[in-house]
Amino acid sequence: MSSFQVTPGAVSAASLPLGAISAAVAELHQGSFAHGMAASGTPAAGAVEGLMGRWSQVLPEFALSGDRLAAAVLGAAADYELTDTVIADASERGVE
Amino acid sequence: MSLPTDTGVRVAPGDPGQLSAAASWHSDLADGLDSHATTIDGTAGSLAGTWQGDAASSYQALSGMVSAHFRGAAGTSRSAAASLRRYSSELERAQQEGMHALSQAEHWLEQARTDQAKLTATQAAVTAAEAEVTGAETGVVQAANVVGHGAAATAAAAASRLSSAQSALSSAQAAERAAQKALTKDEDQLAHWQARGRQAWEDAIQAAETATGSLDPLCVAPPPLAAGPAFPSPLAGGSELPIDLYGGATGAFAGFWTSVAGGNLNAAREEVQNLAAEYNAEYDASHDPALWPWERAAAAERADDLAPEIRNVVDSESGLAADLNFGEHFLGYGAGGVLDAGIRIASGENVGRSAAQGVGAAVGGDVGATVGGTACAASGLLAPITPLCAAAGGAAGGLGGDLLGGLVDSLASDL
Repeated sequence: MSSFQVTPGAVSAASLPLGAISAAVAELHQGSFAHGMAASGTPAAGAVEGLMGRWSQVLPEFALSGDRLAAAVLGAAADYELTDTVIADASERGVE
Repeated sequence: MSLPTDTGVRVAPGDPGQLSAAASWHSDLADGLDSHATTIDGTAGSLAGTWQGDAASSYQALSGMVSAHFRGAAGTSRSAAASLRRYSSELERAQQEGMHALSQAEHWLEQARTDQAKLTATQAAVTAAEAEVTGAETGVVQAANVVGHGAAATAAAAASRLSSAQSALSSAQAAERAAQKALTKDEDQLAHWQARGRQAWEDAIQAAETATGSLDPLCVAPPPLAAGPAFPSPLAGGSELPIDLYGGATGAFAGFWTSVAGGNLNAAREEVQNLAAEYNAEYDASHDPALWPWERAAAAERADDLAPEIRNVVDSESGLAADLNFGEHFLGYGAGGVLDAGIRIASGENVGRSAAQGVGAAVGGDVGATVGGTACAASGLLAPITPLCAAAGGAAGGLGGDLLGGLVDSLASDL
């Protein structure tokens, strides 16, 4: 059984930094495109290009993971709040 | 020995500035990922005090895994930054060495060409001087054969010519040796700087191979997303598992319970009314002047017996009302919804959707039980099985409400 002390303002504030991860990682990802050819003309060109390609593949996943965590926190708070409301309503009806 | 047409020195290609920029990008990325890991850990820590339970544990575990991936990726990025910075630095040094070697090789190749020309010229002078010496020697021999007046002067002139030719030859030979020595030095220097150039080139190649060896194995595993079995994903849709039946089953149980409790309560109320009517009749009889005294006494005795019986039934009414309340509100609205939503959340379904379906199951179960029970009771024929009708109605209402809750959640998500 889970319990969640819902204080929407505090939970929103706690999840805000998580929500900012996505944009920050996306900005870094954008910056990566300038470096794919950094070793152009050298024997290491393929290695650098491959590395930047791998970053391009996983960075969106890192950005998404931040969004998902933020959504999980916000979603859980909202859902528990909703459940609290339902139980409170039911309890009130039970007292009548 | 012929001189080469070019220096043979090549400067390693590549842009150390771009490699350095790529290294800086990796450093920034590592700092950013570390900072995000700290944020994730901090958020989990701040939630730990207010959120406990299975879902909270799942979140903490997932958050820890995601944070660990961010830190792991930051470490990988730092390794890449170090490799790129080292390669950039070594390439820059190799290129500077190569440029210097090229410049020196060009200088000494030019010097060798000049000294080669000088050598050629001195060799020609030596040849000419040798011919002059040969001619002068012939002149001396011929002068020795001259007899009579002027023979001495002729011999002296021939000797002088030979001496001058020999001196010129000696000078020419010295100049040739000097030119040869200079050319040899030029060639040595050219070879030296060619070797330095080759070494710089090989250093650049070695640095590239080292960088490749460091960068190629670097791989980054993507972090787990809040969608897997570790935690119910807020973005995943709810699955239509047999678990949906929990809402319906609770509705059915609540309906059956409510119907039985309601029937018992109604029966108790009816009994109270009957007993009260009987009591009133006995009471009236006990005060009826038209009856014999012994008849009034008997009526009073029966009324006295009925009074505690009525109190007992009235007392039982409050218990039966509580049963009805429990079935109607706790089982129907409360436990039904919470059980349905709770099981969904615990099984990894979307939290918001689970709550909506739980509410739907609770309300649907309650309405279904009421409709089913009322319909059967009113039908007359099915009145004896009213609790079963209420159970069926509760089950149908619970399932329907569950589905309706999910639909409402989907519509709300689409807005």
